[in-house]
Amino acid sequence: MSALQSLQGLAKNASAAATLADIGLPTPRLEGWKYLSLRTLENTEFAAPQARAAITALGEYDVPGFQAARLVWVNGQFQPKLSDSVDGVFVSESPTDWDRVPVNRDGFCAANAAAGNLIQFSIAPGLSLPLHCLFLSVAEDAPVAAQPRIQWKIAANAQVTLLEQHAGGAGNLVNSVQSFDLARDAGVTRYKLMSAKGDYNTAQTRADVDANARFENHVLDLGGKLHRDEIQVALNAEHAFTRLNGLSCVNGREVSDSHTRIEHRVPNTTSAQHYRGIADGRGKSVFNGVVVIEKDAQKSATEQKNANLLLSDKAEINPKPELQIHADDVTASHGSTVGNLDPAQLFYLRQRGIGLAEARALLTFAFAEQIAEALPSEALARAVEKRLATVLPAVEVIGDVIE
Amino acid sequence: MLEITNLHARVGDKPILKGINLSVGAGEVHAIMGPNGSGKSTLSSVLAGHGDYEVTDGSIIYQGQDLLDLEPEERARAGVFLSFQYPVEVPGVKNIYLLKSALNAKRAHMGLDEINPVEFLKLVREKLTLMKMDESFLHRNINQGFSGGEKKRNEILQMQLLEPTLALLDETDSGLDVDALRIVGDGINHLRAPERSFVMVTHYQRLLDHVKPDRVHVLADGQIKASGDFSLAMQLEKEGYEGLLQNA
Repeated sequence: MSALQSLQGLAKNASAAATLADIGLPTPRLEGWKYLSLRTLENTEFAAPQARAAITALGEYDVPGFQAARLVWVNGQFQPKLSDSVDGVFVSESPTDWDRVPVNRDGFCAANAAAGNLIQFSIAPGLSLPLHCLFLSVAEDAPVAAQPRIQWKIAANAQVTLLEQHAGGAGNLVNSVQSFDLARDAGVTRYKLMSAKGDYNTAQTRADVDANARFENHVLDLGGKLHRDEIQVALNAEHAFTRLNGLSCVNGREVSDSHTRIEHRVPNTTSAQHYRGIADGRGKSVFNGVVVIEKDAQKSATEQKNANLLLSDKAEINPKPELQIHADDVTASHGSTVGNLDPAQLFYLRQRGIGLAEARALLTFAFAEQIAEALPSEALARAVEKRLATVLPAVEVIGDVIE
Repeated sequence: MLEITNLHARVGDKPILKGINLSVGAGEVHAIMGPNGSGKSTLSSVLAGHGDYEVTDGSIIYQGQDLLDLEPEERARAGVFLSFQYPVEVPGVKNIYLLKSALNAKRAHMGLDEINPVEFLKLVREKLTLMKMDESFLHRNINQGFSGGEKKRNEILQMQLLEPTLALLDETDSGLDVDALRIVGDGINHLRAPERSFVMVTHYQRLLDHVKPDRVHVLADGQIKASGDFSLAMQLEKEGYEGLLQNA
């Protein structure tokens, strides 16, 4: 059975299932999917998750120094018993679907809607708290389709730091859809830490940002079989702000496919993006960043930076910045580079006695570090640096640098 | 210490050095002066082993070994230090890491253990004071966001710490105001020793007022056209390169 057929078989929502049958899974013929080969995924039959496995030792997923209430999903199913309950965070398992990510956006969105796992978290006004959302992918009898669908309702002036961690990686499909609704003066700082290397992970995130609110997202993808991350942010009222940062390191045959879309819909809105990719081996890294500044969105500002490091002849980088500016009084900048290590920097370090291999390792780490050191959370920055030491060459060099 | 014989070097197809002969004894300070494009900076780059330059003829013997056989890092560990004309910014790597790695690379070459952290910090603080730099420089990324003067001071700071046997100073005075020039000059003088030699590449006499050379050479069109003592620099200041080269 193909992946598509199996996903249809899992559907609980008939109309979404019909959409899925109609449009099928994405193919490279679609512009937004052209660099992604889904062949192995397509030939995998995914079962419904039972999530019966006894889960213990959740503490091993903690990030040292990051203290937060824990919310746990196992194979896409929310686990109230494994999760902390927090004052001011309200959980609803049968909310009305906002449908801000249209069901027919692509086959994965349709499959997610069809699976019917919708859950809503509402954060009370003025509340300020960190949350650790742990998405565990565990092995079952056969690969399963884990399809969390989450609505985040962030009330006025609430401030949420959200660590979304994907761990386990048992060869499942983890296909998530999340919507964030930020009321005025609210703030979200989200870290998406990918450490489930064996999964197919596809994610669709949508954020609607009201006046003077802030949606900040940091994707930290240090490699995996197939990671697709798509984010759309709508800046809907004045002084709304978004920052989208990302780091991807791929090696072997790993794939990291990042797509962002920011819509400046009204005047005085601001966005900033900084994505960095490192591709080694036969790895493939994609960054497609769309910024739209609508006609009425005067005095808006956007900045997009994208830098890529190509470490092997067989690796592949596909950067695609895309600015669509329909207003005339805006500040917009963007830059995208693909290159090897800088020979001038290498020579400088070698002239100080640092050997070539060490200098290369150091500069590769330094390239990634520019995203890591900019993380607002010191604890996350340290955790990412430690992980970098395990995926980049010459661990011992990096170990010394981050001490 | 350093014996350069008939050195020819080029960038791509373009010959830059066309037969340099230069002998630098231990403890000596030599100034290489010359107009823009004469090959001054090329000479220091070639000595340090920069990959953009190809040596087509001649030899460089440093302490009895053929320098051209050594990789840049091997030359550095053997005591060759280049103070860059344009110190390179390295975002993402802290200055302190560079200082420590560089020092330990040299110590390893000398058969010594890594320096212990307490001793290292004490040593670095001492050098920082000398260069009138505060400790925050240690935790900033290498040269990133440094002013021109700060970059040059950072070069001399590294030189202080590494205590090279042969120091190559490439236009170290350029972009320095009067105060910074004095600090840099003092930093160089502080290191003068019977076993240590300096080759200072410079366009102007400014630095030479602070660091008095034993020998002055005038480089033009890839060759040394005139050599003399400090009075040659003074003559150059008066007559300019054109005047002096016509008379030479």
